[in-house]
Amino acid sequence: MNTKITFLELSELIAEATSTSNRMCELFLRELFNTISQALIDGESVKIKGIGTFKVTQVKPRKSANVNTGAPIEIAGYKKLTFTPDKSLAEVINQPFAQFETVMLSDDMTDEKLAEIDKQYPSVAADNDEPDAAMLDDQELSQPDMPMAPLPDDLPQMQEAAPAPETDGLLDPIADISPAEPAKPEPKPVEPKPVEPKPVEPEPVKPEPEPVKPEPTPVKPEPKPVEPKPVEPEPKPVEPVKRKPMLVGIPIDGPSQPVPQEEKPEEVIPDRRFYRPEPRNVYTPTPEQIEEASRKPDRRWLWALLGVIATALVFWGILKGCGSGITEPEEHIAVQADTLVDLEDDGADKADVQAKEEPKAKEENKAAETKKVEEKKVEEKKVEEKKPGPKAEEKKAEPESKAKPDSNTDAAKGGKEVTDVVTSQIVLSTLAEKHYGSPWFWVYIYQENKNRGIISDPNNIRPGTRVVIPPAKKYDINPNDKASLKKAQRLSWEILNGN
Amino acid sequence: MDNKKLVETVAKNLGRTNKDVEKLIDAFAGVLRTRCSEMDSVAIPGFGTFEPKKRNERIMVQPSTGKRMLVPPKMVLGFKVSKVLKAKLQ
Repeated sequence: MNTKITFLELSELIAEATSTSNRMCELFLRELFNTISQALIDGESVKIKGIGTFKVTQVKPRKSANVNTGAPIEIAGYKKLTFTPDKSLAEVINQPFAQFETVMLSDDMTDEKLAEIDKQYPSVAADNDEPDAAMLDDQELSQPDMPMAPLPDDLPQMQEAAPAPETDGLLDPIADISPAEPAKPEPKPVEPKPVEPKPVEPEPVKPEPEPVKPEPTPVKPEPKPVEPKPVEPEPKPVEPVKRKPMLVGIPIDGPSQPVPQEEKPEEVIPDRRFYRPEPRNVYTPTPEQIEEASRKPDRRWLWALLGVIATALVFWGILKGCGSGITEPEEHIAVQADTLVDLEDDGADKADVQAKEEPKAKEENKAAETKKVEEKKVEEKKVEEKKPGPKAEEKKAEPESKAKPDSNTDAAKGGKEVTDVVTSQIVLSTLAEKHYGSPWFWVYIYQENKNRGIISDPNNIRPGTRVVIPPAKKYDINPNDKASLKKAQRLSWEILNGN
Repeated sequence: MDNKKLVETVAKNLGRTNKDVEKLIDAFAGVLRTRCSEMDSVAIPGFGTFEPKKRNERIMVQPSTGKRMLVPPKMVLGFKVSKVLKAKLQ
């Protein structure tokens, strides 16, 4: 490795290989290179089988300027000795990079994009060379669009691969690289998902309403006309820089989405349709944008309210028809959503398990939990409000509570704290969407956990971190309240730009 | 001077057969191969140094089509002429 082989060592090596005397080899080498030199001095080019060609070329004199004084000077012509390695020798030397081919860059690959990719990758490379090398292979072959990125990091890989070849083991460098290939998935998720994912956002909105469709058909037409309006004309966040905080921004349609249970089309679903468009169009708004939005007439909210009431009425009717059994789904959904996240962990929270039990047990739990919570001074008052267990039960049965359906988890109900796990798929905004009904309320989860020292950077949370979902009341979280939503938006803007 | 002539000249000066010299040259090429692909360099006094080098990848523009190509990185065997030989060449 990077050592210089001296003349003596060289002759020893050759003596070993040909089983001749050391002295003989020394003589031979001297004679060989003397002959070559002599031939070169005579102006001949020398071709040696298995090594390459030595050639002397004449470099013409050229004009230049003294760097300091600017005075023109002439660089004299000279003879230059060039060496072109034999094809077979060159191939052997290039073995570590033999798998690469020249690729055509697509026209839309701008320099800025390349630079961006360049910037992204060194950080990944710093952690682990091996998977990176694998990724490099992979990208070269599969995505000719962005092969630029990993290449700069391949020096370590090359050096690792290099020591292998022992003539018959020429393929070793490849063997060195290929085992790393399975590791490739690791670095992939690490890279911040680039610009592409954005167009995907609207999609999760559509599938959601579907399960509801069959039942409240009369309601549908009403809200529909409302939606397109708010979405389009709204000031769109154009600056890609501000979109950077992707991790917080995107509601990912991961397993955490509490919606997929078509069986229990609770009231949450129709309602969500109204709140979704909002976060989408104001993703990282500047304060000006927020202000602008607030100045707009509230007509669409009127429509939305009408829609909510209508849906609620329809559901009330359905609920009445179906009987009392439907009150339970709410908890089940909360539990299911939680367990989905907790699968790898040591089971769901105790709170979740308890929630599955009979209402009686639940009441007891609530009482116990409220005791715990009472220790926190801040929440004391709020807990008191919620304390009476039967009251909470009554509420569920009542249609009014259904009209505010976003409170689909315990945290949103106000009484207790829940914890949830952040994964590579589930980020703070996903959790906020799940627990509070709007991704914007991630700021409060962030604040709560920051104060407790659980997390520090909203965009950089270790997957697997268990975060505390504060009770909605603590921060006045109400997805139905425009002011509350706005406050969260402003806060998130401040957090993301302040950091 | 091609390979054949070189072998003959060296053989004559050494007083050995062409076959012997060919074998020795092959052995030298073999050493160059193995050691240089291990990133070692081979120095020959009075002649020069063979050292492998890495050429970085680069973007090349095809003059005829204007298309941009990404040229992958590459290992090449470089040769650095010794000062003695360089002076003799002039």
